[in-house]
Amino acid sequence: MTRAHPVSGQRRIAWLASYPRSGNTWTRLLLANFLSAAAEPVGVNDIGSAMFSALYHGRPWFDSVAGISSSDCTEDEAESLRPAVVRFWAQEAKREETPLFCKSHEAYRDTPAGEPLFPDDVTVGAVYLVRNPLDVAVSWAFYLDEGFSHSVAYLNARTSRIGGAGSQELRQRLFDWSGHVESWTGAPFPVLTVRYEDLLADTVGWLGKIASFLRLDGASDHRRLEQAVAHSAFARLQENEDREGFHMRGRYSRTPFFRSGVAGDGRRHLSAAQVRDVLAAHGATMARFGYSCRATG
Amino acid sequence: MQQTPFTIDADFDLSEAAAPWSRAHGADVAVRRGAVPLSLPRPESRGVAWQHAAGRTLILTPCGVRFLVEGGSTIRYALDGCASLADLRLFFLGTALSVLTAQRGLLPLKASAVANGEDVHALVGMPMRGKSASAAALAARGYPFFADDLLILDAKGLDAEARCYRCDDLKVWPQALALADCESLGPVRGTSKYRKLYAMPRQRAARVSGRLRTIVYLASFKKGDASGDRHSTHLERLSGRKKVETVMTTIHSRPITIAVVGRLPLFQWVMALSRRVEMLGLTRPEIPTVFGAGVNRIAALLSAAESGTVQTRKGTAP
Repeated sequence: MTRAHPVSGQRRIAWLASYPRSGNTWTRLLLANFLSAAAEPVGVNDIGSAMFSALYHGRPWFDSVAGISSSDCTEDEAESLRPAVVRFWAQEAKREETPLFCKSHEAYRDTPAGEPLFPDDVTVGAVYLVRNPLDVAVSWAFYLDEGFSHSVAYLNARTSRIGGAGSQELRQRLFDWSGHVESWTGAPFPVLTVRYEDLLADTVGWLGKIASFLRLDGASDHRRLEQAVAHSAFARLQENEDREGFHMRGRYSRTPFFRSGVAGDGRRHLSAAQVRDVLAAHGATMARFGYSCRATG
Repeated sequence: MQQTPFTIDADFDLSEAAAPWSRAHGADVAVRRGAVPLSLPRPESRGVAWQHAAGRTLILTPCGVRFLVEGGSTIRYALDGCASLADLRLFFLGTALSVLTAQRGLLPLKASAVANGEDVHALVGMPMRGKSASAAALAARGYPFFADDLLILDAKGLDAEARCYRCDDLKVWPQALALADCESLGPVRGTSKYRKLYAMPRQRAARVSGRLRTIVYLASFKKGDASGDRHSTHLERLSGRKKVETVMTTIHSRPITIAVVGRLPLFQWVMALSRRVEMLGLTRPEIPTVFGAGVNRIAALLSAAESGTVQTRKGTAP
């Protein structure tokens, strides 16, 4: 297995990338619990403090690192400044051995200024989570409190984006689902692609692979991995969200952020026509990652 | 009595709101177009868009406006490429003026504010939490609009009272115009890619200074409030460490201000401010359909703060 670069100099960013609703937050919790190795689980609202991470699209993070307000900038200006912002964050970080984790839902691409949005020179590698787009469509619809037709159209549009002017998040261009997957799996630095369904089926095994890829201490410590997985069990996260809320829940959502978490939801909820639309747009990429492209079942 | 803590002589038109600061001759601060370096030699501290060394602060905005702010008395600026006068005005009345005030021993807060007579109530919070729109909406509910983006506090006078000053016009996103019950006065910047608008609130405070009475921290999520009904509001009185930490997060251009003032003096200013001003945290849903109800709750809160009868409890927006 290819491994990420070792942390050295300003090369210290580990990207946790995925299309929305593909297990990114769960993976961050798995890693936070693995890194803390504490007897008590990391709370769902405490991921950032537990693992020294940032949301690459977060305005508060951008503003505090850049020193100027993103809301005074055009979307293009802010986006073109982001590689410099993450470089500065990497340079200023005092942690020596563990990577700095940066979450993103954006496609791998260039800024309007023509520079890679995810700069290679500060990157140790990326963990890219991919999930069956039929399931993504269902989860995304619940998150947005929109119909499935809306989320299917979202997954199929090359111009899909989230955040931007007037939003609490900076603009994030996603491409369509296939474009997103192709962009990240073709990135010029080491990328570990993890299927959400595989992570679900063998969480301890895949968390170990992620930790090993990122050269984290304890990557082969089975007890530590098992504890991190137990602390991040879906039922526990649901209970945690039910008890204290979750700051990343969709603004309009009427369902919890940790709603279902299962594989196979897409074919249970989407109509035959919606399934056909997704397959027509993404069949080739789905087949590449082992997802069934049959219109039924 | 001097209305503003210092005066400005600029070689370009400041905004109407900043007029009380302007003086053609003998001003405390001169603002002139001139040569501005791309970097400072041996910076003591630096960030992505700024450098600081020996009492001089260089600001490099992404739109091509550069400022060199020196000794609290001089600002030189340069416009590169497509930078316009509108861009200059926006960044001057925001980042550059914030740095200047810090150099002059004043405390810049990133806040919108409304007034009631001599009392000023500041609205603070993370970016895009509706500070400006709420201030504008409060102006239609009997609290004249006072300040947007930058609220300048006299840090030296904090032992007596928290005296504050305003200098900029209201700016809102287009989608907030109707919610905030205000009228567009045109685009903020000289590019169609920037959508924020200058806006006229229903009422504006005539005064340029006031006594800071309350700081309301606006948030959209409160840990422990898992009702999930998206309509509840929650109010708490902030005190002690949480109050100080919250004020620290609301410093304008915070990393630059820390570099200019120093972390310890800044912390001492904030401690002094925290002793003088009541601070309330209001969590409310950020859904347009309940925005008005949230503003009504803030108005009721300010009224209670003025009469000293604030009760912290969970409420429900209709």
